Amino acid sequence: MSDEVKTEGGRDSAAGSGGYSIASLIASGFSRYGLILALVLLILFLSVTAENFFTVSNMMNILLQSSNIGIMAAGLTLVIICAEIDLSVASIQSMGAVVVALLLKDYGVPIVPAVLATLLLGVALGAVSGVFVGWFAIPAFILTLAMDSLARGGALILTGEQSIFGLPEAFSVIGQGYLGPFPMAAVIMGVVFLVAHLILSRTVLGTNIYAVGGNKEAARVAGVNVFAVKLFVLVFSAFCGALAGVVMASRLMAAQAIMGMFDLMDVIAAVVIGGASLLGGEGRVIGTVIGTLIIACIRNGLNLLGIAADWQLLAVGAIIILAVLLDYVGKKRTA
Amino acid sequence: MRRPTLQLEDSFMTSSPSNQPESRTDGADERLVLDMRGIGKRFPGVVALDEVDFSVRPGEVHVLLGENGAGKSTMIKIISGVVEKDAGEMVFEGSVIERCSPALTRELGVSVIHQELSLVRLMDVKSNLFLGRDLRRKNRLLGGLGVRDEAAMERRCREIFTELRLDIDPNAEVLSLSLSDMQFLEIAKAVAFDAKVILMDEPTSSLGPGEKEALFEVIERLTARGIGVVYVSHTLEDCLAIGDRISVLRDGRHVGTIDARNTDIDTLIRMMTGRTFSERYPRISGEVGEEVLEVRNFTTAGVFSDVSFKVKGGEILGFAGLVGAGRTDLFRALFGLDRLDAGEVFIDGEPVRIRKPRDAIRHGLSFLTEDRKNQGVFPLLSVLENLLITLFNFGRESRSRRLTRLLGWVNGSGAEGLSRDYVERLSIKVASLTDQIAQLSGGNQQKVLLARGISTGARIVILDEPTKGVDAGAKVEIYRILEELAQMGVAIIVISSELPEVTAICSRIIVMNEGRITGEVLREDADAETIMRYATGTAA
Repeated sequence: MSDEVKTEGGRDSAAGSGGYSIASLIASGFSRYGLILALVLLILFLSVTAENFFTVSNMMNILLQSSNIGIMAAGLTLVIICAEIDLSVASIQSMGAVVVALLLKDYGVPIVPAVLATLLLGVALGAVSGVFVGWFAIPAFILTLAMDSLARGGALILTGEQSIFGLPEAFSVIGQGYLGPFPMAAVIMGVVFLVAHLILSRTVLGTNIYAVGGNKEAARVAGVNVFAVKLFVLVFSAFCGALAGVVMASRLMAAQAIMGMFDLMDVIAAVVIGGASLLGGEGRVIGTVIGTLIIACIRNGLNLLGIAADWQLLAVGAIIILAVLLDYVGKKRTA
Repeated sequence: MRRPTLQLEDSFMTSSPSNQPESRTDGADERLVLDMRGIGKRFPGVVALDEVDFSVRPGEVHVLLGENGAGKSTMIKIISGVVEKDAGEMVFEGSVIERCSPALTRELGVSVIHQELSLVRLMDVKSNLFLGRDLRRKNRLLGGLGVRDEAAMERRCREIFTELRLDIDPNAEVLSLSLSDMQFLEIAKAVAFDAKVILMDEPTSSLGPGEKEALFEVIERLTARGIGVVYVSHTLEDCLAIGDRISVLRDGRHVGTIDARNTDIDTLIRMMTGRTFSERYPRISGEVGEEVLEVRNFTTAGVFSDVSFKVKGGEILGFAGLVGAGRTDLFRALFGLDRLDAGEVFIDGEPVRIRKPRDAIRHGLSFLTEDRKNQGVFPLLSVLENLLITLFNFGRESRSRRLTRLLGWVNGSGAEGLSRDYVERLSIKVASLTDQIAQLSGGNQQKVLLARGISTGARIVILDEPTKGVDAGAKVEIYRILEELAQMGVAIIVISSELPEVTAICSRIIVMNEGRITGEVLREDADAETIMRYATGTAA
């Protein structure tokens, strides 16, 4: 048995045999409890350094601000576990925001059908990516990069590069309303996270997503409909993008084609920090939840500390590198 | 348990000198390239190696034998520097090696030929031979800039190939080589690196009988050069044929080291397993029923052509042949995994169309691929998920057996109940159903895959090299499972390159050569010679 011990067991065995570096010790600790620990330390640090950070209203604010990132990250988690990537979510978010705003304002569509139509558009865009990636086996990296450009370009054309204001007052309930003490947007994020979690952990589809991501060839032999699985994850991701767009338009009561330009970075960061492997087959929604909160706390904290947006971008980049590095060191040691 | 060990060693000690061939000088005998004493390695909860002695003389083939989990891989990893030993001493050419690393051992002259070949497939042969240490142009400037000396590399490559008598073009792309030539290239690479010890881990696992002979000849040329070969294999006949000394490990302990000329298979099995195997390859028989599957005129250009055969329920049909004879391709095409140019399939006499694996499974087929690691298991998923994934993906069936509910929601207790049934029925050794499958031994992984295959109620089970990388004990258990299936009326097709296996468990054997069926023999008439003649296409 001994030479068959791998993965979890391998991790233990290396730890037990002594002689490991501090970096790998940190990495192994990090991979188990580190995420929560990192979040707690971050909150402690910011509570001390930034005034008004650790208050109920700011906490709710963080949840609100993170909602669109979190919604998209939930979708991307499934995509990444499936060993694919979706670089188009942030642009689909903009597209969603612009479309829902235009439907409400210029076409006078009532709120519910306007939102549903927007979500449907997201599904359609995801289906296009899914068919190309799943059926024609075009690398998702290239295809969703193109989709990113298409969605962003489409949004720019639709708005004529103008901002859209003056949305109906009732629409604000999605992004600005509260359910008890919680912002409605955060509740929506929670529901999306829950749905993603249940899909992954409780359904056959979830097993299939892990299976296709972990070993596509074996999945095919086992009778998994690989195309359907890839189609689903990309549709779900685009749906989440469109939903995030609706939430953002409602929160800001405005829409603009270039808003959320840099959100893709935060979304990928949230998923990767959360421990999903870019090689596929590994990852959990709970990790992404914490990853999202870490990113949101950093953003919020840096704002409170008065650090400019360009430096924030730098910080997020550095944090992704750190997360990937820890993941890499942890894996290398177990290999 | 310790006593017979000593006796075996004693008998070796006393008997070996008289058996030494005269060509071997006594001086060379004393000089060890590699001497490992009292090697110990523990992982949490397991002692992988305990006080193991192992040595390699120049120019000998030292076979390392043991069942899966006996500690062979750990030993190989320690020798090659991948894993560090906890106890013991490692002496290489007279000097003690304290800390080992793969780079250091390679520098010293230890090369490992892995089961998974480590060649860059898109590069040509000579570049692979010198991978990481390209010869540079003599010219200072050009050499300094890293310009490769193609001519010198080709020349050196040819020298090595000539010496090993290999017929490989140094300028060919590795991609275009056969699997066995790739392996020879790996060996040539070790020679180019000036290896003194070459470790071969299951080198024949992907070779057909003819290619195996070629490998053995190459090994003989290596030993003639004074290179010590450590040879790990499950195929005992091979170990006896090629080995000079045989060391057996069991449960991490060194059972004994014996002279290959003074032993036989039964002794080795007893040393390996600690019990007697009256039948390593039990004869399996079942009631043969109605015809279930007929394949007619299967053809895919350049792969196989005009293949037709029939199988009856309860029959175990063997497909023998050399690697590359098109057997795997044939069944991949039948299962809808690969393209098929022409051909018809009949199940119970009815024509069916199979375009993808899902169609095949729906029609009652099940396919256990040869490449367990890449086309079988999902290493990160649990035993339960690995076992049930196929069934899960056939919604109606899965719901009717209470494994899933609406929308593919998994019914935990139902899924656990069914997998527990299979685990018990196939006696799969697993601590918990939620363990990752990668933690199981090769044999148990294979059983999980077998359970997955039959879980859908398959009536035609195709197994490609079902006992590859599986230890002797688990092998017999897999044969028993096949026997049980056959008795239930399942038609079984076994593709195997292990002749004793085919002749023992199959009642009928079809032999292929270069994509065509060249012969068919009944078990009663099956002998290695006949099958080999068909397999090599030299039958009258």
